[in-house]
Amino acid sequence: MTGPLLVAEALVRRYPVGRGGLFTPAARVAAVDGVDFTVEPGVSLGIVGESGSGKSTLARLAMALERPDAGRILFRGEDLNALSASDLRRRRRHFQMVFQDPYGSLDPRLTVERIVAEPLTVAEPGFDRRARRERVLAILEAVGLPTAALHRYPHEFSGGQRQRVAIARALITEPALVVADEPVSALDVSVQAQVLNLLMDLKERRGLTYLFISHDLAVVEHVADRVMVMLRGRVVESGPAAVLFARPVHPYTRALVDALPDFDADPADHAAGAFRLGEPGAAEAGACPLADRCPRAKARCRAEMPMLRALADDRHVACFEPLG
Amino acid sequence: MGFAWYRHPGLVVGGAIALALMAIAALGFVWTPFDPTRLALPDRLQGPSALHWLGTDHLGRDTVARLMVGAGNSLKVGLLSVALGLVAGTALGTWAASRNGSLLDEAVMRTNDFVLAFPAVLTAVMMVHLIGPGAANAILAIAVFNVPVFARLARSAALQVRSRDFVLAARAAGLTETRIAIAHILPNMAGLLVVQATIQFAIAILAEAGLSYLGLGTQPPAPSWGRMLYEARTYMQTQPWLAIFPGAAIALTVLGFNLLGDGLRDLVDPRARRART
Repeated sequence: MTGPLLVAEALVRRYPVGRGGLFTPAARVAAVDGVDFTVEPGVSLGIVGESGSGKSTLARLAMALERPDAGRILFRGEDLNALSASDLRRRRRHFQMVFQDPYGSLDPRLTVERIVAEPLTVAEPGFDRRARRERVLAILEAVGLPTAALHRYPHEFSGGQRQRVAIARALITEPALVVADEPVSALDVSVQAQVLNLLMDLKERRGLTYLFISHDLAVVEHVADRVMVMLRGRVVESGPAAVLFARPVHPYTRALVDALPDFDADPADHAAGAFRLGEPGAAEAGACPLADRCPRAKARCRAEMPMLRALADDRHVACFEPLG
Repeated sequence: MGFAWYRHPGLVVGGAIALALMAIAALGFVWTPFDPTRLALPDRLQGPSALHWLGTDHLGRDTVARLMVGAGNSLKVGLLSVALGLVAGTALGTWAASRNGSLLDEAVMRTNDFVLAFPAVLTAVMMVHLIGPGAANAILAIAVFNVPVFARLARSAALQVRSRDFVLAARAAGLTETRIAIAHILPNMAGLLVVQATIQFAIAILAEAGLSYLGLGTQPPAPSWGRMLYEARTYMQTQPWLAIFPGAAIALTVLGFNLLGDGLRDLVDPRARRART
């Protein structure tokens, strides 16, 4: 397979706010505002951003669960939203999703066997019962669940185990791409590491590529090869994970990185040296999305939207006053 | 984790009444102490006795036999009218929910409000006047006012279920919207619908009795509780038991199904469930 797995081209998704009048349409706010990215096979992309930055909308756009208002989403070169409904359903086996909340994403009325087998019933309707059960058992073993889980219901499992069920469901059709939207943020911290390790392990063994979305930089650092930082629906910085974490250039990325605990440094020094943002104010149209709380903001930042530009070390940044 | 019966007295009593009624109706199909339509004028207007446990009516027909067959009649009308209303209403409501906010959704729900604005029994009476009296038409008329009740409930329940992530997950897995509705949405709202059906069942039985009382429902000589009440009204002063027994049968049945419905609602309501466990 050559060529990128997933390409987003100038994606825009707006949501109405309020109801609008009889003849005036409701005002709309852009949750995703002109986002481009490329996911190469085997190179997992992490998307980081605070709540409200458009990450989850981006995940649903990438999964073609929502239509963009502008732009295209290409999976292996095909525009997903240009496909017929049945063609799109047929392609879905190749890109699957793990949801944030394992309490809401599993139908409480179905057994684990039916939950996990469901994507397979679409992808390979010819399978007989026994063959299907074999596949379910194999994938349950791969995610570390016992055979006995087969006939049990979601409520009989802990959050971490449920997320394993969700992962098994996503992987049963052997997809090339897995979109994971905050897959560990609903879990206890002690369980987060187990699930993350499972995801990394599966990536190695099954040659998966992740589009991994999280508000937690530390989590993304583990899983992603490349990272994209989002703020208010726009990409502010992107690049290889190692470079981006070692030397953030955008003030917002820097603030995120500095907010991570550093167990080698003296806590007082760490806090004193940290780059901090001000309190968020109102977002202004046509200004840098960080202008209201960036200590480096100049007049230009408040008057003009910085565009994403390439830097030397394979990364991009949208900032007029980047950090050296 | 056993089910504590004593905590749900209404459910237990209501369930017992409903079961007893079904047993009596079932027995009425195969055996009654007398032929419920056999005239025996010499035996007319007898009080309760060893032979006629609950007496006889103005034509000498045995009240026990007529109540037993009438029970079957009430259950049949209740069951069919609620089933019709449930199926049509659920289909409409689920369909409207899948197009939430659209013109179609508005049209369906405003038509619902229009029908709901009329008192149920009045609607049924008007309907039967239009399409003619008879048991089958009574069922249809009662079903008509059941439709909007279920449509409204199904719509709100479907909207709630549709907002859950497992519906999105099913879509991501490639299921068609129809299959999502059947496999995920309907099963998750079934509990609410069953509760409402039980309550509607009580209303339907009351409505059927009302229609039959007015001569618009079950036609003589087939026995029905409402008809029995109507025929008893002339003898209220002299032979009050003629009215008391069918009246008590109607009241007990409606009470039983209401208790059952309320009890089931407590069981299905997740907040009530959480409070108990």
